Amino acid sequence: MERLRERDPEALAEIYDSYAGLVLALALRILRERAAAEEVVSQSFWQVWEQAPRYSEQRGSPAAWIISIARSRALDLLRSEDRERRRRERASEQIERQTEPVQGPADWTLEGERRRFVMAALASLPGEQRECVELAYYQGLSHREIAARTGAPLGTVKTRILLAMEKLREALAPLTSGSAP
Amino acid sequence: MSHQELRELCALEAVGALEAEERSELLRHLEQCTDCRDYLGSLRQVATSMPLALAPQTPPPAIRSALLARARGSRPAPEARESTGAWWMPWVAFALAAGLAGILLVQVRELQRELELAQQRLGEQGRKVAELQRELGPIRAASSRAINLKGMEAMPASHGKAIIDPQSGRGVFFAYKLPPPPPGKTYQLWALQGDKPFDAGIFVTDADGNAYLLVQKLPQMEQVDAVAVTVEPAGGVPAPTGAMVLLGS
Repeated sequence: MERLRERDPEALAEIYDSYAGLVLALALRILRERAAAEEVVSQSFWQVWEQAPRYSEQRGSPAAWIISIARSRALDLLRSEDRERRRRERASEQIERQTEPVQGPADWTLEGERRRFVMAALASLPGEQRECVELAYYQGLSHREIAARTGAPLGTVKTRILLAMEKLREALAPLTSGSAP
Repeated sequence: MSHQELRELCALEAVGALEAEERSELLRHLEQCTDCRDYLGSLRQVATSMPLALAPQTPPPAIRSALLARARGSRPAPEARESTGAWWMPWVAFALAAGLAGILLVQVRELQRELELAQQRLGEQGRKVAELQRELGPIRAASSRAINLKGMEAMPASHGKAIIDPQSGRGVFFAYKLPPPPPGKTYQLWALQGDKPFDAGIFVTDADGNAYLLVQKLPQMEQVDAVAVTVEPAGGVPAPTGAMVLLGS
């Protein structure tokens, strides 16, 4: 990160190689459209490059910082009217795909282990809690919008999100503790 | 605000689900409460860990090279060197290189697009095969019945075949050499239990008078005694009203 702050393009290359796959996966999860998701990868890493001199570890790990940038970029794109309309057109297809379990080739690397660990933590949540958290995080919906979408009362949505986050915090503690928030 | 309410606000903020007003209320509180700040920090960390569950995707290499080229170009310029050649030569070289890079990038993008389309088509085909297997499953069931249908007097050359599983109400039907139905009319397939007809769906014939229908709308029946096709008003009817053109039992 120090080299990136000093605007070393090789440091950008390294950080890109470490996180581009994750950023594309996140953008695809949000936008469900390959071309738009790739655009988010471009934009996000450009923003990483531009903002690197102002990055501070106190605000989160590099991974958390990059994920936050990519999520905001993807949600901005999702919220633009055009995307919204096209997303609605493909809504049924999305629902079908969203219910598909994430599967890939067996990956026994550290990243693979970490992925299985987080997947297991998410899978341990009751379905309606996970749904609320994912609608907020991946669709950018507010708690009111989630209540409208799911038909659950507002108070229930808030409780579900709190319970889900507390459970995840406990389950992910081995992964998150020790590094800066 | 109660402790529980504050924890809820922090959880909502961590996943970005707070609305503007509540958010500023929470931020005001955070200015004076270290505990809540720490709590929110830990939940934010949880939220940004969620995408780690996603299977990483491989971006096209063109994104990486374009990004790095742009980053290299945007660095503060090293001290100016003394020019030895004609002043315009670097510009011509730059323009040529940029042009070439542009063409390559377009080609790479086109190839990627084609690959994606091909992958998409492959995925669609796979889904269709799986769908067909699912649909045809009941037809392989031991309880399913195959029935040959013959054309009535008016159209002796027409005939058909049906395989229907009464237990699941699913099946397939093929018709051959049926003349096109009169304007405003459609062919409708019926499965009969005794003399009680059940609507099995409407179908259209192709230019050769052949047709294929995936039967999905039948209720569960005890048995299928006969299968018939009648001519009905467009859109179909709940019970047969028109002339029978094919029958088999």
